[in-house]
Amino acid sequence: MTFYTTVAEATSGSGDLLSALGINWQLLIIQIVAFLLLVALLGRFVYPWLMKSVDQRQKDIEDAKNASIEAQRAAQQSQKDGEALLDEARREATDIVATAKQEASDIVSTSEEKSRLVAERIAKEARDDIGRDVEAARKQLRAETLELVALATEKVVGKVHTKKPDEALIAEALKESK
Amino acid sequence: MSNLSITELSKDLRQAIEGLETQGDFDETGIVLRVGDGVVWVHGLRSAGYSEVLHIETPSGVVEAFALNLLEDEIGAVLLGDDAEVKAGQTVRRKGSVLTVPVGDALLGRVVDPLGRPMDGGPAIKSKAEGLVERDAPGVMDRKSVHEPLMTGIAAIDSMFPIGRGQRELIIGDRQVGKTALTIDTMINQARQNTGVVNVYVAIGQKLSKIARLVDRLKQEGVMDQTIIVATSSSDPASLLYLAPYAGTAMGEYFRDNGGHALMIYDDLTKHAVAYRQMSLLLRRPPGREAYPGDVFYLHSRLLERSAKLSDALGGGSLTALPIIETQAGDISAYIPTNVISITDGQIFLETDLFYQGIRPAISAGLSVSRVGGAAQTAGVKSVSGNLKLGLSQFRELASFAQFGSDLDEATKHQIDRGQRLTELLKQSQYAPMSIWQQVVSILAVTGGHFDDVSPEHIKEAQEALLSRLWHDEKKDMQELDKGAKPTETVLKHIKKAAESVSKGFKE
Amino acid sequence: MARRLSRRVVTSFVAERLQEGDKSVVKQLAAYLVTTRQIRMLALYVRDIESSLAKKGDVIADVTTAFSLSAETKKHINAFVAAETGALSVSLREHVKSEVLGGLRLHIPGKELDTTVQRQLTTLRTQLKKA
Repeated sequence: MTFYTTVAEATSGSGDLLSALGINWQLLIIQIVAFLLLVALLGRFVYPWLMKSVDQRQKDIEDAKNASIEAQRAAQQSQKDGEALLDEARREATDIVATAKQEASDIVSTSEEKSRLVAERIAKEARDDIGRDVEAARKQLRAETLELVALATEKVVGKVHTKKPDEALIAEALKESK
Repeated sequence: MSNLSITELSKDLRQAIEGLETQGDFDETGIVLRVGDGVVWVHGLRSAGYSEVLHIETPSGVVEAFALNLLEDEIGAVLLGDDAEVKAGQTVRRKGSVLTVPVGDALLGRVVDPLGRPMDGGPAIKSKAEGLVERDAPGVMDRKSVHEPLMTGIAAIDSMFPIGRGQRELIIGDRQVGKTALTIDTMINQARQNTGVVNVYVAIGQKLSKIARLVDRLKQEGVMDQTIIVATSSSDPASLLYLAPYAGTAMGEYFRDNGGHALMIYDDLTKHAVAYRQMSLLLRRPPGREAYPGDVFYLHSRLLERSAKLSDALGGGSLTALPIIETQAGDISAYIPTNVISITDGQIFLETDLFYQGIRPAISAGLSVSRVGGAAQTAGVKSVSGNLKLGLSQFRELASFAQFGSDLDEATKHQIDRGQRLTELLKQSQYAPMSIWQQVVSILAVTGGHFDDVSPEHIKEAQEALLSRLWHDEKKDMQELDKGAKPTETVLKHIKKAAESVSKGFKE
Repeated sequence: MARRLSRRVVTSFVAERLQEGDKSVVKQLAAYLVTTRQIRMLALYVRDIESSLAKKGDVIADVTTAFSLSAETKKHINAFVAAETGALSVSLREHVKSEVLGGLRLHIPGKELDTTVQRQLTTLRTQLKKA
């Protein structure tokens, strides 16, 4: 109420509202012009830069936000991949172990087979050696016997054979050789 | 095992005495004029033929010889036995035929001398057939081109210098570089792969201890049952050394002429030429270059021409020859080596330097060649060997730059790395021939780049691991691959996957 | 010095001259052998001359037996040699050696027939031994 009373008393004294309010309309116009000029200047030089900065900052914040989302996603994906690799590695390890076991068992059975074959071969060679020894002995005995037969024949024929049977022998030999 | 049965022996003796011929024949005879150094000069026998067998009657039995010099006044014959028993004045008769040896399946698994007499202590060879030691080679129309592979089991040979059935491939190198080892592995591979190829190994003037070791090894590997060994040692008369390769070829020809396949190994023809030179000089034949007689080329050409692939009309059999020549100080331009190189269908040259660098078999990829080539190669190996040869030849060109290491561009470094891996891959232990699928997989693993992360020192281990893995995981595919066909896309994928998996464990 | 000819050529010539009845060729041969220092080869020359004569129908046969031959046996041997060689004349040279034990060894130039017991025993000892 005091304000309105003051305003009524001021206007009633001069009859001018602006004057009553203490506002110099020239100064106001100048201030308005100055203000507009200021706004224009600000709008031309300050606000674009400011807005640009703000936009940039907003963009950076947005980017950072996106990046963090992306990083999170990548981290999740890496974790998944890691788990998948681990699974694969576990499977391969199982395979390798199984293969190694299989190979070891094959090696054992191959070695057993080889040993068996070697043993058989040694036994066969021993039998062959004995066979050869027997054959050699047989040959030697045969040779000795023939030698003795020839020697005995030589002795006997030398003493027993005479001219007449010899001539018959010669005649037969000539007849057979014709 | 035979028993010493006196009853049987007595029966045998009775039969021998009863069968003794009491009437002789009115044979043409001559007399020994002089004898020495394994050569006997005979007077008479004017109708004796060249290379005819003569029987010299000595107090301890008949000694055989064969007539090589038919002169106007006398015959020069080379003794096939000990000349200590032969004396001047002894009677000589003609056998009436040229030299033959027993041939047939009865010889398989046996060690014999060039006259077919057993040397392994076993019973006498009882064979129904006899083969001529000297015989004409098959004519042009009797032959077919070489098209079937003879797998040696040695990756370097089967991939780069493939040998076909009916081919003559010379193995040449200095002493102790692995020439005989190559041939032994080839023989073992015939048994391992059940190829049915009969091996005939002719040892010419070799140490008896070496032959004994060879026989032992072949028995261990189970190869002896399809092998014939014709053995002569350096203490045997030169005449036996001269005859050995011809006698062995006669034995191999039996299988060739009956639709089968045989592999002849002549170890070695250098000693054969030396024995022939000795004989010719003692027979007073005029010496030529390096004192060899003028027909020393013919000596080997008539031998090696008998190795051939026969036409289908004659049974399609084959006789493959792997003659061995020993050089002195790597000189392949000497007289005998050049002779044999010009006769054969290619050569595998073994270098001493490579051998001592640890590259065994020490095959020189640059100097070796197979003139039959891809025609006698399995499709599977053929499909992978192109890159192998290329890789190695590029490596050879760049090998001298390998020492510069980091100063080279990437492409050059890659070629050198690839070449080093291929060189390591082609190293192979003795007595370990590889089957077709093993060769294909191994070569593919390196040429396909799957082993690029494996250091060269670990290539052999990686190869072993890969082969083991594939044999267990993809056995059926590998058995299929072993038949020789080109690998399918599926098989290639399996190989690639397995190779990459194995290489992870050997990553540098 | 006389030019050296092959033994076959010389002996063929000598045989021809001998058949014509020219015995002086024997001295010429002796001189030739001395000049060419081939005295040691005399036995071979004689064999070759006998061989040439045999071709021309004059056969000289060496017979070795354990006992001396009767006339009938000699006749048989002559007939045998003539039949085998187509010879016009056959001369026998007898040798008696008890070590042959029995049978005969008949040798003509270039051929031999040996049915002696000694040979059969040698065959028994040597060839059958190796069977």
